[in-house]
Order: sequence, then C-alpha cells, then structure tokens
Amino acid sequence: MYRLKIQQLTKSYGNGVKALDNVSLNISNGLFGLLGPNGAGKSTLMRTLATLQLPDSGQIFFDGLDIHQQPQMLRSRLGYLPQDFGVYPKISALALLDHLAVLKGLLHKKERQEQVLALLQQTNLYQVRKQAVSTFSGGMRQRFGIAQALLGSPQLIIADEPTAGLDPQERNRFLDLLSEIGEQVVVLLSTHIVEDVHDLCPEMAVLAGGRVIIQGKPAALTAALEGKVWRKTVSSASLQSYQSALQVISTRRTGGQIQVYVLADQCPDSGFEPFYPGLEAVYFSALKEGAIC
Amino acid sequence: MLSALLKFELQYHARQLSFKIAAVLFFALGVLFTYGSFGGAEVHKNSPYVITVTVGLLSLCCIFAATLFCANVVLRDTAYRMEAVLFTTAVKRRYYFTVRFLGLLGVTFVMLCCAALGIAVGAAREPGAIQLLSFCQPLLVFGLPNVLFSSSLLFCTAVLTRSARAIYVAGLLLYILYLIAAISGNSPMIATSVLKPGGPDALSVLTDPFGLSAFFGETRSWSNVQRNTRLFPLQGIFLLNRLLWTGFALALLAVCYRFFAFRIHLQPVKKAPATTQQKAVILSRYNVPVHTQGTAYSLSVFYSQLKQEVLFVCKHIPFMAMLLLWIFLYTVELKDSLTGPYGIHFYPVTGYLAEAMRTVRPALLLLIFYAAELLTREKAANMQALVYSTPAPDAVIWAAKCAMLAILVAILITANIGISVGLQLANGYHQPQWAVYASLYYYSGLPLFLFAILILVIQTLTPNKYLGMLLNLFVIALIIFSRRLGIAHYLLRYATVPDLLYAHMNGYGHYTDAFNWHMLYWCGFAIILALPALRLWQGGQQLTAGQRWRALFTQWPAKARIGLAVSITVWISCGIYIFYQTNIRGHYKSDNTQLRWQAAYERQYKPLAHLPQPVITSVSTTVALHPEAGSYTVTGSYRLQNISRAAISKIWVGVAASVSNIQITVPGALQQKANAAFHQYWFQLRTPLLPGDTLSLLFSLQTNRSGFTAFDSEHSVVRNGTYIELEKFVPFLGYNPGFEITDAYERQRHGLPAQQTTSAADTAYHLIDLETTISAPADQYVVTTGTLQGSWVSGQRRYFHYKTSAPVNFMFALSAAQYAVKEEKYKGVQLRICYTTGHEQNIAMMLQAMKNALDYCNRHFGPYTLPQLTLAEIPQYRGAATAYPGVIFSAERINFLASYRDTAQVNQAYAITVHETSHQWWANKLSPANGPGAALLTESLAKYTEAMVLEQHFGRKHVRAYLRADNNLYFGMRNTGEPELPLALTVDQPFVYYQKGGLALYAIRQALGEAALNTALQRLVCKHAWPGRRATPADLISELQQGATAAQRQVIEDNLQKVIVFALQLKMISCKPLPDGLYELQLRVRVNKTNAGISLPPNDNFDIGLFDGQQLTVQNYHFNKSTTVLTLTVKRRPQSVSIDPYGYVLEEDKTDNEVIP
Repeated sequence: MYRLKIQQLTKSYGNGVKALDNVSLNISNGLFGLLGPNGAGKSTLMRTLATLQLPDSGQIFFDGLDIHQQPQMLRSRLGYLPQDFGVYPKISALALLDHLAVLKGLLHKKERQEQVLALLQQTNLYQVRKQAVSTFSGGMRQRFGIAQALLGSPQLIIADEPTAGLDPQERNRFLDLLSEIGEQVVVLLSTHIVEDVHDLCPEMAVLAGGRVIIQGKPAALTAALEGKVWRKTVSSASLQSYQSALQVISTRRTGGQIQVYVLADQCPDSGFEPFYPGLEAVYFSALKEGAIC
Repeated sequence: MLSALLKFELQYHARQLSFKIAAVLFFALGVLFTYGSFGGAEVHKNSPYVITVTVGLLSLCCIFAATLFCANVVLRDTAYRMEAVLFTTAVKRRYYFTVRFLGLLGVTFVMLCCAALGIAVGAAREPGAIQLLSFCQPLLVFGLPNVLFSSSLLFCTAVLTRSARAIYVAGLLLYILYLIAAISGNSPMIATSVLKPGGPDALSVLTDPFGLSAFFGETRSWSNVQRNTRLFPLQGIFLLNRLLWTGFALALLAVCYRFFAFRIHLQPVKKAPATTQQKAVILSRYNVPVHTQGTAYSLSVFYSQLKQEVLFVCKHIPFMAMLLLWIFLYTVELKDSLTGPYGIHFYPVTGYLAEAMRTVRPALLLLIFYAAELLTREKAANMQALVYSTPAPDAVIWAAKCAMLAILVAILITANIGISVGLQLANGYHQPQWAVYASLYYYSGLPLFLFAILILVIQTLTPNKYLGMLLNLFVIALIIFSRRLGIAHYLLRYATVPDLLYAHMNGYGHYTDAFNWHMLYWCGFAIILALPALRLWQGGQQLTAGQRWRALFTQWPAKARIGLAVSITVWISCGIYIFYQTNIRGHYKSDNTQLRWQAAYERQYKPLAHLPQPVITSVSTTVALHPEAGSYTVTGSYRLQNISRAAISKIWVGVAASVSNIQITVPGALQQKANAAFHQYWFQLRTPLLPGDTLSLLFSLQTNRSGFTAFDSEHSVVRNGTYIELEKFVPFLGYNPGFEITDAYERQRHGLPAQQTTSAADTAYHLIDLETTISAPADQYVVTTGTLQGSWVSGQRRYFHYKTSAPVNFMFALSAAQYAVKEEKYKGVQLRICYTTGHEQNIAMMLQAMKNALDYCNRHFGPYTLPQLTLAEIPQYRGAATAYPGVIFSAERINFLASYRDTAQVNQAYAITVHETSHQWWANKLSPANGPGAALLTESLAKYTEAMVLEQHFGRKHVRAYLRADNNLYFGMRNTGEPELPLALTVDQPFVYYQKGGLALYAIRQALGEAALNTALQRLVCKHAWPGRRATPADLISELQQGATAAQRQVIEDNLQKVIVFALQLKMISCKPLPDGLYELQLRVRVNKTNAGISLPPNDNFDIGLFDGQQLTVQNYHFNKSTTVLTLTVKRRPQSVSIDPYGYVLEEDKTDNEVIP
C-alpha cells in the first residue's frame, strides 16, 4: 500500500539548473532511503515534499491527497528536519519546542508538555532544556531538530541529512528511534552516507542530476550486482589506462596504492579478484551508469 | 592591489539593488527640494544658498543611506559566512579595513552627488546660470565632512560589533540624537528656534558635527542677493568646526583600526553541563493527537507566536536604550510645550499635554525598523523551514507580527502618558484626566497602527529587507509631506486626519466625529491592502514571481473573500460619505482651488468696486446655534442708507464662501442675477434709492461647520465654546477686498498685479445699531456685542436678547458655552467675566486689569461710553484675545490656564486684559482709516497703554522684563526677507506694530513725558472719534508734534517714520575714589545707529543708570558721536552702571549695556 506517490516531478531554477527531472516514486510505510551525491536534487525534493516549494510540473499525493492543493492537510501530519536550520536566538530548548508544538497543533497543554519533555528525554537534551538552542553545539542542535520533527503525530517524516554532525553513538540512537517509528509511518531519509541506508532502509532510491537512476530494495540491488564487481590493487601511474579501458566504478586509496573497482560480467583482466558488492558498489555503479546514460 | 580591491568594492556596491534605488531616491529628493521654498521667491533654486541647504539637510538623510550600505555590504562576509575564507587569504588587514571604509564613504558621497544632480535638473527651469562651483563647494565643505563623520561612526560600529542590528541602532541613534540636540540646543536649523542675538554662540557652532548651525545661524540675516551669489565662507569658527569633526572621524577610525580584529568573531559559548547518557527508550508519548483546524488552533498559534515576537523585541538591550531615549526626547518636548511666549507657564492640563504628543512621528521610524526585523526574523535565524512547514497558517503568523507592532505603538503611547503624568506631578498638578489619556490609544494609536500595517505590507511585498525599509521611508515621507506636494484632500492621505485641536472647554470637540469616519475609511483600506499582501507573502515558501502572482488570484479562502468584500464595501461607503460631507456639504476647496477662486473673484469683481452702494446703518438678526449638528442659522435684516450723492438703482450683495443655503431679498427690488460660485447677488430697485433714503434687506443663511469642513478658529460651532466672528459671515455690500490674495508670490503666479496698499478714500465711520436674539442649547450662555436685554428658556433652548445702547462699529462676534458668570458694577460699568467652572485662578487678576485699564483710559483718553464690559472665555486655538465693542473674547489657555504665581514674571493674563480693554479706545472708539499704518493706531497704542498700566500697577522694574521680551521677539522675527516698513506705514508685519510699536511709543513717552503724550492722544480721540473722520497715522504724528521741541520731533520721526535700530556699548575706563569721599567714573559709550541698514550719525539721548545695590539713579545724556567718553562724579561706588537701564531702545544685543566696576 503506497502512501506517498510522487509523479513526474520537475523543477528547474532560474539559472537553468534542472534540480528535479521527471522524478516519480511510490513509497509505503517504513524507512525509505534517498541516496545521492551533493547537488543531486535531494534537498529540492525534500523541500517540495515539505510544501515549502512548488514544482514546475508534476504532483505529489499523500494518502490520496494532492499536497500542493491542500498543503495544510499535509503539514499537519508532517515532521520535517531540514538539512541546515537555525533557531531564534536567546530562547531555551524547552520554550522553543513548546512554541513549535503549538504551531503543530498540540493545543492541550498537559499533553503538549508531556510530549515535549519526553522528546527532550529521548534526544538526550533534557539536562540542557533551559539553555538557549542558539548556543548548542552542532550535534545538540541536530538532536533538537529531530525532537521538533517528531512533535505531534507525524505520518510523513522527512529527514534531510539527519545524521550529519552526530557522533557514532548519537547516530545509532537516532537511527534506532527512526526505525522504531518507521513501522507505522513513512520516513524519508535523505543522505549521502551509504551505510545509513544499508543499515535501516527496506526501500531506497538513488537520485543523481535530478533523476531517479535506481530504485529498489538494498538487498535485491546488491544481489543483482553479485559476481559483476572486480577489484585490483594498482599503482597510481597505471590508473589512467584502467580508467580508459574498463568501466571503473570507484577507486580507493589504501597505503599508498590504489584499489580499482570495475564493473564487468567476467574477470576483466589478470590480477582482478571478484568482490562481494555492498550497497556502496550499487551506489557507485548506479552513478556511473547514470553518468554514461 | 589597493586600487584593484577598491574597484571591486565599488563595483560590488554599485551592483546592489539598494544602491540603485537609493541613488534614484536621492536624485528625486534633489529635484523635489527645488520645489520647496527657501527664503522666498527671490532666491534662485540654483543659488549657492539653496544648494547648500539641500546638501546640508540631505547629508543628514545620508545617515540612513550609509546605515543601509554599511549593514548590506560591509557586513557581507559575516552575513554570508565568508569570514573564514576571507581572513585566511593574502589580503592584508590594512587593505581590508581601508577598502571597506573607502567603499562605504564613496558610495554614500555618491548619494549626495545624485542629489546635487537632482537640483541641477530641477533648477534648469529657473533663471540664473548653473555654476559648477556653487555645486562643488557645498559638496566639499558640507557634504564630504558630514558623510565622513556619519560613515566612520557607522563603519566603526560595524567593524567592532559585526551586527547589522547594532548598525541600525547606531544610525537611528545618531539621527535622533542629533535632532534632539538641535531642538534642545535651540539650533537655528530648526524652523521654530528662537533667534539668539548675534547668531548662535561659538560653542554651539563648534559642537554641531554637521556644521548646519553655523550655516543657518549666519545666513538667517543674509539678503536675497547674498543668498543668490555668495558661497558660505569656510573661515573662522566654521573652519574650526569642519577640521574638528573631520579630525574626530579620522581619530575614531584610527582607534577602531587598532581594535579591529582580523579574525572570525566567535560567540562565547557557554559550556553545556555534561550530559548523562541515557538509553533510548520506547517512544511513550509518540502519536499525540493534533488539532490544526478551527479558531482555538488559530488563537493558540497567534498567542504563542506573539509571545515569541514580544520576547524578541522587548528582551533586547537596544530596545531599552531606544525607549529611554524616547522618554528623554518627549520629556524635553513636553516640558517645552508647557512654556509659552514671554515665558508663560501653562498649567499641565491633561488635554494639552495629550495634544502635544498626539502625532508621534518619530514612532514611524521605529515601526519601519521593527516591521523589517519582525518580518524577516525567521529567515534571519534560518528557521523558516521549521516554522513554515508546520500547519500554522501564514496569515496567523503575519497577524502576530502585526499585533506586535500594535503592542509597540501601545508601549510608546504608554511611555508618553507616563512622561506626561510625571510632568504633572512634578508641577504639583494632581488631577490627571485618565479618560483623556486613555483616548490617546485611539487618537494617536490607531493612525500609527494603520501606518504600521502599510509599512508591513510594503515590507511584505519587497523581496529585499533593506530595500523595503528604504521604500517605506520614501512612502512615509511622501504621505507626511503630501500637502506640500499638492495632495491636500484627506481622502487621499493615508491615515492622516485634520489636526485634532484640543480645548479644555471642549475636548477634541466636534472633530471626533469626522475622525471616526476617516479612521473607518482607512481601516477598510488597510485591510484591502493587507489581504492581497498576505497572499503574496512568502513566509517560508520559496516561490517564483509567477507562482506568487498566481497565488494572488487563486485559492482565496472563503473567509478572506468575505473579509475583502466587507472591507471594500466599508471603504467605498465611508469614502462616499466623507466625500459628501467634505466636498458637497462642506464646500471643500483645495489650497490651489481656493487661490484660483480668490484670483477669479478679484479679476471679475474688482473693476466694479467703484459702484456706489448704500451703507448698513442697522442690523437685526436671529441666530440659532446647533452645536450637536455643527451648524447654525441666521435670519435677519439690514437697514441700508444711501449716503452717496447719487441715486442708487442696483444693490450688489455678497456672502462668504463658507456659508450655504443663502436667501436674500430686498423688498421692492427684483433679483436680477446671481453668481452661485461667488455667492454674488444683484437686485434692481424698482425706484432708485435717493441720497439719504433708506431701504431694508432681508436674509437667511445656514452654515455647516461640521468636522468635515476646514477648521476656522473664527468660525467654529462646537459643543462647548462656539466662537463665530459673525460680521464676516453675514451679507456684505459691494466688493470685498478681504477676499483678495495677499501673498505677493501667489499673486504673481495667478497673473494679478501687486497689491496696492493705499489709504482708503472713505474715512467716515459707518456705525450700526444692533439687535439680536441668539438661541443655543439650554445649558449654554451666549455673549455678543450689545447690552443683554433678557434671557429666557423655551423648550430645549435658551434665548439671549442683546441690543446696543449706542451705535457701534460693524463688529458682532458671538461666543456660546456653559459659562459661569462673575459680575460686578464698577463706576457705572457692568463688568462681567464669563468663564468655565474650574478656570477661576486668574479671574480676580483679570477683573483688576479691566478696572485699572478703564481707569487709566477714562482719565487720559476720554470716557468709556458703553454700559457694560464683558470678558468671555473661548477655546485656545491661536492668538490670545480679541476685542469687540464692549466685549473681550479671551483664549482659555494663555489667560485662564496659565500660572502667574511667579510674581517676578509679567502677569500676562493681566497684561492681555489691559491690552484688550484699551482696544475699546484704540479700535472701537477711535477707528483708524484702512490703509498703511492703521495698526499703529490700534495695536501699537494698545501695547503702549498695556505698558503704562503695567508700570503703574507693578512698578517700573517689572516692566523692564516685559520690554526686554518684546525687544527680543522683534529682533527674532524681523528677518523675513521682506523689507521692513516703518510704523507709520506698517502692514502685515506684526512684529512691527506689536513689539516695535510698544517700544517705540514707550521711547516717545520717555522723550515727551507721559502727560504730554497722553494729552496728544486725548486730542486725537476727541477729533477723530465718531462722528469725526477716522484717524490716520499722519493725524497721530501731527498731534504728537504739536508743541514738541526739535529733539522731540526727531524722536517721533525716528520711531514712527524710520526703521531705526541701535547698537549701544558701555565700557568702564576707570572708577577712582576722590579725596572728598566721592567717586569719579569714566565711561566710554559707543553708539551705532542705522536706518534700514544704513548708518546714521547719532544725535540721541540715552539713559545712564547707576545702581548702588538698592536704588537705581537714572540720568539722561545726549550723544552725537559714535564714541563718547563720559566723566561722572557720584557719591557712592556703584554696583553696576548701565546704558538704557529700562531696556526700551531697539537693540539686538543688550549684553554689552552693563558694566560692573
């Protein structure tokens, strides 16, 4: 049962950049990972989903309602964590969260206070709740962002680069939280960290140059590549020749030498060894193919 | 490297939208200034004077431009977080600092150059060639140093704080502080400043960072030729001033450079307490139901958002600083409003204080500032994605920001009320009228709030914050100065209403009604503005122009549609109602239409002025006042008599333009034609009116004086304190020269010849018998010319029957109010004071003044012939009092509500009453023939009588302060640009016939002696009172000269027929004790005498006064040289020696008249 349907979304900016190019996606409950390099159009898609931007063409339906026709309906069920955000200066976390809770429609004072305190606990900000958010460190501020995104009872949670700036422990706590919530609601997780998607998301898509270049379950996508990725350690001098002769999906430097990963049905050359593809290989190969197309 | 960087910097500035708009605005201001009036029509628009005024005043406006550029460009690295990149490049600290500053200085100076260009374009239509030097000199002498001063201050603020808000605050503070300093320091830049003799002192010239006080102080006395040709010389103290402030700016920059850290500015971070790690628990409180519909939700959002805005504005130190500054400013302002001319102390009556602070224009600057701050607040904090992705409707958030501005307005008004109550308590006044204070929230708050909405709408529609602020400044200035730009109708001037004149008798009076309608009209308009603006508001959405445009026309919620429809209906219907009341019922004429009407009247009817018409010999009227409707009716009849030598067959009648519903009939005559536009009527008599024959004329008039008509203080019908100078609003015969345009420039513009001020040919008295019955609501008492015959109540109305006992001049003003009456019979005259209960403080003094003045005038000028003398209180609009035959109308504030407990000061209630009482002789008994110098025979003689009675009652010492005040006022007002006429020829120059007149007659009295002067005056009255011929200044002069010595004749001639002023100086050479216990004083006296600016050799007598600590001994000496050494032998060593100790000699600077041995 798809709850979020994105149909042929196109958006270009004044300077001629096509940020979204005919993007269509169908998303059901659960975590959905959106991978893509910088400038792929992820944030544009997120902002459009959050009704902060209108597309040039295309439609988005959530639970059957066109979100740009009835933005209010969507917003009352939306939890949005933007990629980069600030806060009013000199206002404590508690006061600000309470204010945002009112804006989100938590009118009942007692319920609101309970949820605000619970979320502050959950994001480990309870001890600093009386401090101004503007004085928070990057990680603390990010956690505050998470807390405000979970206010009310969001049915669609959009998290744009949520783990940026979190230390590994915090990141784990957050991802746990998301997957727990994600059972009943749609969680859209935009990231360029492949591991995040790999660990959590039953469904994913890769966005590049404004287009969806690959979509599916991470496991199925890695399975499809099995036996097609080869690895060889080469010198930096010979890298050039490999890149021109073979379909190199990525390279990695280790100890002064370079490992080349190549996409090929058979062993492309002597010295190559088969490599069990992770999601990262899927991502890189998709980007490569996207670029070739 | 420096030049490359500077080039980049300037190009960066030039690319900014705010730069382009500001350049256009300054150019427009330059053009606009050439339409202003600077020193009269004779001063060319491209003269050095006008250019310097423009550059000087606009260099103040440059503070705003520099603020904008500074916040926009100088702080761009901080705003765009480029600092980390920039500070690690090879750019040196010195270059960075220099280039940024020069860039700012350069572009701000370019603004002034744009303004200068504007003048050149605007003045192209003027005579006089454009000279490059007259543009360059002011730009370099005033422009550059001023721009350097303000931009270095702002730049230093920017560099040291790196906060845009700090820059705004600094800019605003600089501007406001400068204005306060200018106002409180009595700078000549401020139009209402009192002129100090000899121009502003050196200290105030030196301490003015913009150098304007030097310029305005010096050029005040410049002639038109000087203004057209002379550049303001850069010399003396002014040069020092320029050097001082340029040096100050450079020193400031140096200090700032010393402290300027070329590093990233880090906020001190409070160390967060160590957080204890907690295991993530199952989200127990997830899935809380939300309610995002309905009123309760909207209200909660509104309240919560408003709370955020209040915290944002009020928990901010600059706001507190601004509020303190505000309180300081208005304390000074209000305190000043309690002091009147001649140092009168007014009682701090609530209403007058409220009136003084009703229009709080500086609040508009704060509103512009905070509107921009509030609207862009989420964006500035980068929080818009959080706030605007919530279901909270944009409109509610916008409304919260709007409400915050309302709170700001309320805070300012509350602060003003606090100041006002504080002033009242400090002055020992313990009856604040809280209702009047509360009404300020409506009368002052609502118009300000409407301005706030307009400001918010403009800011909403402008994509760039700074551009929005600039646009707002421009629009607000346009609205405030719309009248000067030719837009006068209140239907076209946003949230602007006629001045609400306060009177303690009447509150805001009948105007309140019109105010309510205008406010409703503008409220409707404000909503019409606000609703589409809301649709176009971006909030957090990033929409393209096309998407916004579509949003304007689609998706209007039903409530908004209904709201818009209701507002449009309210706006249009109020507009129609106001238009009907103002234009159709109220005969609205714009200033220009009024002038054209006057010009057309003169052109059409002046050629007929010679037609002989009968004169009015008796008037009988019935007047009904209807204060609740703001109207009155008059029905009545005239008896006309042909006093010419020829038969008259045509009667020509006219009525003032403000009268409506006119019916005029002449029994036995045919109305031949009428001109409705000019209210002119002609009647053809069936049988010509033969010389000496009489005829009657009947009329009925109805006049609407509601709050929608232009206020005329001589023609006001209000609930309590109606005052109508009725003789001006009843029919008149023939041509009325009072309708002619008097302003010379306007006459020229309308193609009329210059007005001739020749003496009238008709010097006969045309007295009338008057009988009138006036009715008013039953609680009112009516006063008018004549003796009260009876008064009765019928129905809801009370009637007053007045009749004159002897013929009087054609003067019959009336006043009606809820009067209390104090009566007393004094030497056969019924004295009556009609006043408002609660205004008793000065009544005893005024009654005393009436008695003293009657006694003095009876003894010296001839008997008072009327059986009564009434003094009636009327609201304070302007002036102090007016005299009618047997009646004095006396304004409440200056006479009844001022405190004269300080006996060292002249009691003006007493003085004014004496003055008006003496008008019973000098205007009523002895009427001058119309023509030049007529006011010498009324006002000057009344001033003289005033001085004499004061001297008699309070003593000579007391009068000295009074004469001195008149002397200062005369010198403060006489530089009008028009040539000053001598007293015998005076017209339209009140400082001549009031202030100089009193002093001149005092000087003549000193020369002739009081008895001789009064005898001459008595002869004048005897010869020229009715039925004699009306007097002229020549008659007065010939009476004065009768039996006068040559020296006395010269004094008379000097004072009345010349424009003589003196400069006297006294210096002590020595003071030696003589062997026989006496003292020998050697004094040097310098006398400088000029007639209309031309030096004359002195040949005058002056008093030398010796003060020994208790007694003043005065001796009169003759001086015929410009420097004289006097040797006096005195018995005791004097404490002080002075020339002109009584202070009646016209002299600008009296500080060098006294020496202390």
